[in-house]
Amino acid sequence: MLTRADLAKYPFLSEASEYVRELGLSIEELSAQEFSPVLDRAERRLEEALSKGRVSGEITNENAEILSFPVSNLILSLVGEERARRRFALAESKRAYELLRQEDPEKLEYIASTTFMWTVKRLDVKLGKRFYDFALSLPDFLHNSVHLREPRWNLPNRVLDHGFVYVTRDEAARLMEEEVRTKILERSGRTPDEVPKLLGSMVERARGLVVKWLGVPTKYELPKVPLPEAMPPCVRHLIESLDEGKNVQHMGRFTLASFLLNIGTGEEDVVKLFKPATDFSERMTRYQVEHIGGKRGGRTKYTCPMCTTLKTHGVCYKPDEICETIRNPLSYYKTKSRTLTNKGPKREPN
Amino acid sequence: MNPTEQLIRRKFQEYYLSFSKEFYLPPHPEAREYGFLLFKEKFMVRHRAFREPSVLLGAIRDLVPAHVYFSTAYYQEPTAAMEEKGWKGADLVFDIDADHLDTPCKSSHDSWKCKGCGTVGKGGAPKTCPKCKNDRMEEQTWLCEQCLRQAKEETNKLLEILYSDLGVEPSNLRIFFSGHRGYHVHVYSTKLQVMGEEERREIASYVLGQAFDPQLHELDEVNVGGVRVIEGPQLGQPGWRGRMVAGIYDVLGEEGERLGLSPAQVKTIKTQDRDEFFKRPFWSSVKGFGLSTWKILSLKAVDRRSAKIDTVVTTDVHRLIRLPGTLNGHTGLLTMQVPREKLDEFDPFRDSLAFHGKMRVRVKDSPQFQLAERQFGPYLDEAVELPSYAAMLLLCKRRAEPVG
Repeated sequence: MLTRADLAKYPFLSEASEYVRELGLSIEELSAQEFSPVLDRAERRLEEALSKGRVSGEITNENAEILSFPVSNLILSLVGEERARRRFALAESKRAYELLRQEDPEKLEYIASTTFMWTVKRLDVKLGKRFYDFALSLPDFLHNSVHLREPRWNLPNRVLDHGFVYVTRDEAARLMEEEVRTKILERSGRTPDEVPKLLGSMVERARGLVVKWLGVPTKYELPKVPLPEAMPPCVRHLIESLDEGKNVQHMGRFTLASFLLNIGTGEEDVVKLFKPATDFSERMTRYQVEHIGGKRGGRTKYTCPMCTTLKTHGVCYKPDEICETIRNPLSYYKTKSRTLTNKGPKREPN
Repeated sequence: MNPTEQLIRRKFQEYYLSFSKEFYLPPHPEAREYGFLLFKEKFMVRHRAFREPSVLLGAIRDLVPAHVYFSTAYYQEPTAAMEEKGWKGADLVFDIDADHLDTPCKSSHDSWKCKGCGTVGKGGAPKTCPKCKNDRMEEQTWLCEQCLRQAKEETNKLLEILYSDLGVEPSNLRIFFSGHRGYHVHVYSTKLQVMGEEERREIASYVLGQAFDPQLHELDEVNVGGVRVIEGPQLGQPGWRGRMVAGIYDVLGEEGERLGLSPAQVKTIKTQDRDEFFKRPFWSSVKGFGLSTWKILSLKAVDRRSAKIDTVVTTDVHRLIRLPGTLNGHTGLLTMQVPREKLDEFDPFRDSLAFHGKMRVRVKDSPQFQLAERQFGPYLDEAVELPSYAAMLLLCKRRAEPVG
């Protein structure tokens, strides 16, 4: 079913790993002159991912394409930089998507069911203007769709038929992109026992690339004093509603309290904020605020609920452009306070 | 424990001691956590595990709890602390409760009392007392046939969605009466049980039709040879598409004014036969109905056809839920399995009674109600002798006290 050209396109496939294993090469053997295209391509894969966020899909040397992929992964796991791993996984998965979307349905089905273990059926259905090539089992669909935020990926907006979700060819490729991303992230996360000598210099060069393109890792510290201007629309709306004496439901209250405590607001100030509520009871509010802060009950400090949860419970309010890029109100605050205080890490290469 | 609680506990104890049947246990009973809410100080005994129904019954006889729960989740170590249990999976569960339904009868049978000044009122409790502004309210809810009929209807809608859209095999599904104001549906599926909270949230959204976008279901205006035509889903299409069209048929049978239609559109609905509309292609064939009108009607249709479940229960992968075959401490009724084919004829007020014999109680205040096809009440401040099931309901609902 798969040719060597396919393995070059999709080096994350189980067959590609098998192919590499059968060659029986050790890392040290790669230092031979004949393998220099492999090491070159491995470094270029990393540089392309870090600089452009894309790895090119052009294939000049099939063997080098297949063999370089595990080498890139190995280097990344040795560099041990979370940001670089994420960026590489994203870039490689986008490359895979661009190639997968051009494949015929037979090949997509084969890859989906053998490498990603999807339960997928071939379909030949036109509904409205759209043509559906596949029906994907509900758990396999959800496993990947929950990472995608456009409304078309929300389950109520899908065609669901006896446990299978209809997807177009392009959508199948997009969902596979998610699988590829997770697979690569897992792979580059495994730490090898020792650093092969040959790779020592390559790892150092890769570290240099990370600094060049992603900047020196700075741990951004949240401002000591809470910045009201950096709060997301939902939180601001909750505060306004309380101020106006409107009733705010449990999920809204929990969101507000956990958000404020997490950005460093004092418990006293959080309690005060709930005073305008019509059913305000200082004793209860204090207990609950302390509970959320981890001082009472289970002693767990609660974090702010995810945006998806807030949408389900109707707490999400007038999302803006920053909301498009985040999944939790706390990330919104982090992003915006960083721009407001101009303390963000420099992303521009020099 | 006050005398009422003592009496309820004694009757519960008698019930469990004479209980001779086997408990219904869900799949993998040994991998689940069990919990018991005691009468005494409402203390919760948690993190217990049982392999044998008989041992579980022994524990229930020992503790005589007001409520008995088990986890929808399977664990490696069900008795360990929460973080160390080792989550393996959880049944997909749905909860339909009258608390979440908007039934018109609530104002006639639910009431509240201010803990500050004693002011009373009908319906759901206000946030603060209109008289003394106190925020501590005592709520009294009642189980009524209308609320439970509505809950059963929502359950039927849920089952239809589970079968035809989620592809749940009827043999992998169990329906339970909660012993109070609703029904639980449990789905056992090795494929679905490993889903996390985010995946389950999508399923809850689906059942509720949340954030449904008719345009993404290809209800749209298109240009066909220079003519603007509305195209959209058709009856018989899978999932929400066909269901939405069927729902529109229902909605058109309702009062047009309530749908937010213009007087001219209302007239169109009233004068035309709606079966005529549904002769394809119908989206463009109704005079005065444009894309925006159809969108509004689509959303109403989805709302009518969606099942009103409690999203929190479905998304929680560590949920403790009532164990069938045990007594519900809020009512003295049994939490029990209802076979699928018996759901329509199931009458909770006849089929979930646990207590026999007679009891004499002093009823403070009770609306009229029906149990075992007999009418009771209304009662006000009187001592009466009642069949035990009726007396226990009033005691559990704190509408009555022991006599003497």
